[in-house]
Amino acid sequence: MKSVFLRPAFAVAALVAVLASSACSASASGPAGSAAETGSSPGAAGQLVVGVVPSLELGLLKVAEAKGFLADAGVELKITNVDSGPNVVTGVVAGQYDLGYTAYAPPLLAVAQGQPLKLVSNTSTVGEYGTNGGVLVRKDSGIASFKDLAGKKIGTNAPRSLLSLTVPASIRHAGGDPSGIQLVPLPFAQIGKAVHDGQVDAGVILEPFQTKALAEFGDLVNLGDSYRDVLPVGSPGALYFTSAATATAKADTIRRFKEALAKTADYANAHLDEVKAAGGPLAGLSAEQAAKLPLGPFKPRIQAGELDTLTTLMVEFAWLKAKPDLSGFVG
Amino acid sequence: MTAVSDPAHPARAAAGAPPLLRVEGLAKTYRTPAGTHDAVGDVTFDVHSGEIVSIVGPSGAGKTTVLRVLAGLLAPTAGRVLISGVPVDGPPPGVALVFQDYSRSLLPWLSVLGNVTLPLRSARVPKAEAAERALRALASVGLEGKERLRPRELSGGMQQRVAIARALAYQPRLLLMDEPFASVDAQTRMDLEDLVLPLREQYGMTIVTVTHDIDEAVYLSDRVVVLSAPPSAVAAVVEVALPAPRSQTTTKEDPRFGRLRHRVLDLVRRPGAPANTTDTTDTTDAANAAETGDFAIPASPVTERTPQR
Amino acid sequence: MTRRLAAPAWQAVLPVALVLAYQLAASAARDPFFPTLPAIWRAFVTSWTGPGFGRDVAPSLIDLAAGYLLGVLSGLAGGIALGLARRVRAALLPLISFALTLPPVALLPLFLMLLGVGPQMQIGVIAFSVFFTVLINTSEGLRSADPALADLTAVYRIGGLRRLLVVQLPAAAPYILAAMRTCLSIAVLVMVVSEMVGASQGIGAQTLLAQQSFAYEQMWAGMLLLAVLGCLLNALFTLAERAVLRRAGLLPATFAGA
Repeated sequence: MKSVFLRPAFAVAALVAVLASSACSASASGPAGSAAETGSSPGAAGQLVVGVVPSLELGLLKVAEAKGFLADAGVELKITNVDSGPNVVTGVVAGQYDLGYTAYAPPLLAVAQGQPLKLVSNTSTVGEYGTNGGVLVRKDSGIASFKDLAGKKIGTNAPRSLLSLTVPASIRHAGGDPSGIQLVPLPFAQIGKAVHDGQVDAGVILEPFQTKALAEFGDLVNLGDSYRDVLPVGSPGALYFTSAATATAKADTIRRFKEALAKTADYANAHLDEVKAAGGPLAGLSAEQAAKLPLGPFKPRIQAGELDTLTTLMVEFAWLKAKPDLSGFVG
Repeated sequence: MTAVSDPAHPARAAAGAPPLLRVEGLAKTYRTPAGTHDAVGDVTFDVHSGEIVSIVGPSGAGKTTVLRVLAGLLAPTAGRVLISGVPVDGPPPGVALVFQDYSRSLLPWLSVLGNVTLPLRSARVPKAEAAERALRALASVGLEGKERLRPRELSGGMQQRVAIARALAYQPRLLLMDEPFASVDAQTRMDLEDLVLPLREQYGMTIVTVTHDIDEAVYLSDRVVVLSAPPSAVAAVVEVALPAPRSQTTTKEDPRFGRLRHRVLDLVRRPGAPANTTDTTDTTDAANAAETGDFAIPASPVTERTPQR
Repeated sequence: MTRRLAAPAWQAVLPVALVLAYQLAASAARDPFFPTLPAIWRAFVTSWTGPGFGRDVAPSLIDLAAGYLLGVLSGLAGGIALGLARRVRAALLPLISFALTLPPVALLPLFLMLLGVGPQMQIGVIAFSVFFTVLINTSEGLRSADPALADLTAVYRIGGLRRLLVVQLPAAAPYILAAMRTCLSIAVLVMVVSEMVGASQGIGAQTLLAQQSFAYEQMWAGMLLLAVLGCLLNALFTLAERAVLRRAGLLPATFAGA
């Protein structure tokens, strides 16, 4: 007699497997970080495993290596590319990575949900010329400003990426009503085509995809950088963070990494071109493309208050019910 | 080619009517992974309109093969089959077949009525007429009131009656039956045998039946075609001149029945042996001389075979 | 007889035991990733009932129904064509076997390119996930029919649509229904996963949102809904399948192909 319930059980198992790359791996550590405390952390002595979302400013780590800042501090990095910020957070929570590098939205959301994460170092800040992303629309779409995006269907990389927060904020900033927009998760690589084909009215995009999309589809135009539009110059852009457990278990290595990164930032702010040259290949950009992109100054230390704009937006756009207490995170 | 007597029924031969069914030099060789198997060597016989003819023979004599060729389900390796003078090269119109295994030939998802009307509907008989013919056929096999049931709700004997009713409602020129009563118990078998005989009169059909039951062959038939062991040929054609109407009691007690039965059995067991009894005492036609002049001996050596069960 | 009794007993005991074990472990661990059952249930009610039902569950179910039916009908049509044309089947079989091994979820980007953003993409992927299994089982069911039925239709000259609809398809029904039942569960899974790309509404989109928001109880509520949906649909289908086959005097087939 065949079980009526067997097949769905298989289906659920398969979905769990799909989500496993992200959330489920958290189960490996049990109560956050207990594994790390028992000494089974991923890196060897002096080694840190870093889960990163590939980006131009990762060139900072390359510069730190090339200029010997890391070697002087006795830190060796093992860098793993991760497909999205939330998955970086999950990997750090699970003890899979000692450090995570991503934009601020995922770690802030995780902190708000009670995950004890620790800021290790801020990296770049929003510069005069914004970040390296934009919003693509068709030239004939009649959309000329962020205000016109009200009520539109907008492609974005993930429902909880920072770009999905800054776009509605930009619409409101420009005097439009962001409540009617529909955010559609799409891979960056397909956003240009989706806008071109009219499947979405606009698409949030980052380099190198923006340059490729603009080259491939002549009817597209960049509406602007919503990030820069909403966040003041000098706002924190991205960060290295760790879990409370790893922060304790590898306190010394992490402290030395922090110092090395601060030294590198001082050097990098005077040699931003070197960072771009080193980071371009990591982000899939040619040297030429990388050189043209804006890269805000690096600012390793930030105050909790500097994240206030972001957390306010998160509450305003119902990502969070209340502002999280960031004293444990930044402190 | 064996020398076979002209099997035509004297009365009909005299009338000069062409045979409804003519089987000429039929041969069938099967190809199997183990090699070729000559099932049927050389079979020739005729059946005239209105006759009931049984085909008997030892096990493996290719009786069913012959019947499948007649039905157009199987292409012969050599020879041909003519129905009303037209060569058979596929299932011919107006030919019905009652399959041996009723459980596989009735569609369980259709009602009794649905099973019987299916061939009629396919032949574009209007719905009302098809139902009327089906109900009449079901009544004639004693299944009044069962038309709404599913086949599985009926006993084996009743299911085979449904299969017969399906064939009757089709009103075929030629009704073929492949061991039609082999899968039912003895009592049901007798009932079904007695069902077929009056049906022939009622529907005016020509019937060719394959059976391994000698009693049944003799009881039902006007003539019995005896096949030899494979590669089979017609060992003999035995005229059964028993009076009508036949009945399970009086006919089977008739000494002529016993003699015919004995003779056919001998032929089946030793197709080459001369028959030690004579029969058909009431036929005196010239054509019959050939029959009494007797049975052909196949060219191939005849081996002693165990009789059928 | 004992097996007959044992199966439903196990069907009930095992899930209950697992659920209890989970609740005990979750309340002991106090890990945000493992919310307790009452927490999951609260998230389930807020996410999937009330306005959430109309916004997320209903569109998902509509896509599921449309994709499933499209896949079943096209699979049936293709399977009939293949089952009746022996040469075409022989020629296409390697291709179909290859297609059967393709995980529809991995082809999501391709479907996104071909069908664009919107329900048609979800429907297309669901239909794809159903199509080949129904196709191969329909043609297999037609081909493996009792030869006695072929004799029957030949002798009584039953042809064309009547032969297909009244004789061949009913005979193949156990195969076809078994394939449809299996595909139903697959379709539920594919529906959820396909909504994680290019959809802003639906069970999958909400579950992805919950995962990215680290709202684990909502994520678990999504999986719970999927499980409930899968079990419910499968149980209903199995009951209907058995009823249909019993009425037709047939036995359910074990799943073939794929």
